[in-house]
Amino acid sequence: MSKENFYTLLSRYRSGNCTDQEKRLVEQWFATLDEEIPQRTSQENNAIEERIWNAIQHQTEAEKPVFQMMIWKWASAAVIILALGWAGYQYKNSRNPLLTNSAVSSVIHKNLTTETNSTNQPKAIKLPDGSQIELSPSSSIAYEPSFSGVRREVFLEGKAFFRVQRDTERPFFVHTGDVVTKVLGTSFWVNGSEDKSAIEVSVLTGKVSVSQHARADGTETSKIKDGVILTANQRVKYTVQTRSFETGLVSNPVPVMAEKKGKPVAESFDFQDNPFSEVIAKLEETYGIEIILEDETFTGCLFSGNITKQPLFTKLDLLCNSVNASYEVRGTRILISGKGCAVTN
Amino acid sequence: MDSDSLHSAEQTPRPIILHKNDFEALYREYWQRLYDFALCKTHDKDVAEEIVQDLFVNIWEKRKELRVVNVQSYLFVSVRNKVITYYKQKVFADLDTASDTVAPDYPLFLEELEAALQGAMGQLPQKTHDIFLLNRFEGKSAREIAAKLHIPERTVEYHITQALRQLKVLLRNSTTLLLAFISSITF
Repeated sequence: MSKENFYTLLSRYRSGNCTDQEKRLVEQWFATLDEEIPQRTSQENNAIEERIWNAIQHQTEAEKPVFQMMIWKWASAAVIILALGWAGYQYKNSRNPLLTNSAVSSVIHKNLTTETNSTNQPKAIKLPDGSQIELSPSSSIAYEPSFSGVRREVFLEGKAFFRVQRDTERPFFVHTGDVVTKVLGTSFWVNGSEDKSAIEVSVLTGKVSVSQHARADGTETSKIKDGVILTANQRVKYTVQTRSFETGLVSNPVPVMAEKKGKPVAESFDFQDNPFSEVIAKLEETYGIEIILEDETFTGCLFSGNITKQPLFTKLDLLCNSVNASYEVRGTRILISGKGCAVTN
Repeated sequence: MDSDSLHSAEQTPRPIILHKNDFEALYREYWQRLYDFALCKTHDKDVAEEIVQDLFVNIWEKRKELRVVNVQSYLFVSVRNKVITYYKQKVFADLDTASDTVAPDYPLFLEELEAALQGAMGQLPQKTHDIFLLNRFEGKSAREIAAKLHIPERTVEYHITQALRQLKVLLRNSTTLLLAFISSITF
């Protein structure tokens, strides 16, 4: 497998543990990567300069380990295609009644910029605030050309992946039919296609809230219970007919926790006779998913093996097989049940 | 060539940031060249922004321990390493399985890669080849290369343009699966 070998080559180069030949090959390959850079206006240049500087300041002043998330965002870009689904909600804090259906239609009549993807490839769109959208085929999106208001609002028909630029001053809203998704800065999918009977939201990173639009008739209280908050690896499906939200996990969860000390490798899952519960706790932490062990029956179960590279559900298959257990996804949680290790060897 | 230049004998490694103002000055001076370098290698604006951002956040966090002789080469080598890490993770995300063990056909892979790259790079005239590597791999500007090799800046630019043009043609014409793969991961 070329890819596997190529991965080996780059890993060895980055670890510094490589031969002169490997070093030369990586250097030559690297030299051939160049592509022309598009011309930028000085305004664009200033915008980029300030955007990066703000992000740096944000991270260095807070001294929070936010920067560790960055590297995974790259990885998730490739994984995103597989990840469909989770949703979030939490729209109750909105004091502004702008999001009623009537208000939405009035906004629509302002001069919104509309983009439609009539190709059969995803289309990349950059919003005025730097947020990025990958618009799926047969989908369209409308937004205010300047994002001048106190909130950033986007109207979606169809399916799209969002990578939202963090801006705590101006929350970001995606309107899709009955559903509004609110975010502060994250990446996620909204899928409103499927004959419009359901809308699905999946979160890659960060946290979003998904709720129903407030009704134009002012029955505001209903929306408070009709929504959910989603974190990474979760999704929600909103069924239009029943107006109900059903939460679950994305089909291929990715690690949400960054690697320690900025080391750009995946968290290691290499175990030697570690307690089963400890392995599970590590999975929970890494994927940000709650995993429940049925009873205390797993006391005394041990696990050995390296499952670093497997997807989460394969990891769980391997773990469960080793202790004669089984798992099921219940909503946004995973339940593991089994008889424990007393009867096995 | 690369990290060795950080520890050359003539100069003593120094901290690059003594004060918060030094940090901003460093960013203002270098951000654009680093961003352009990352962009022309990754072809992705978001990734390029993240790399620059990440680099400066790392520098700030390590500022007390960090000792550097040549600030510029330190910055470019760091960006280069982050670009390689980015590609590494991109390949990783594409793999169904991956292990820390080296596959049995790895030596063969290296041979094929060597042959493919030599085929392309080896067809460049020696001087073009050397200048191209200095510029594209070490991030040295045309002016710096000109000063180093005692040739006019225009000549350096000519060699770089020639190298890029020839490599594009050579790699495009290559029929090996390997190269098709390597160019495909660059999107």
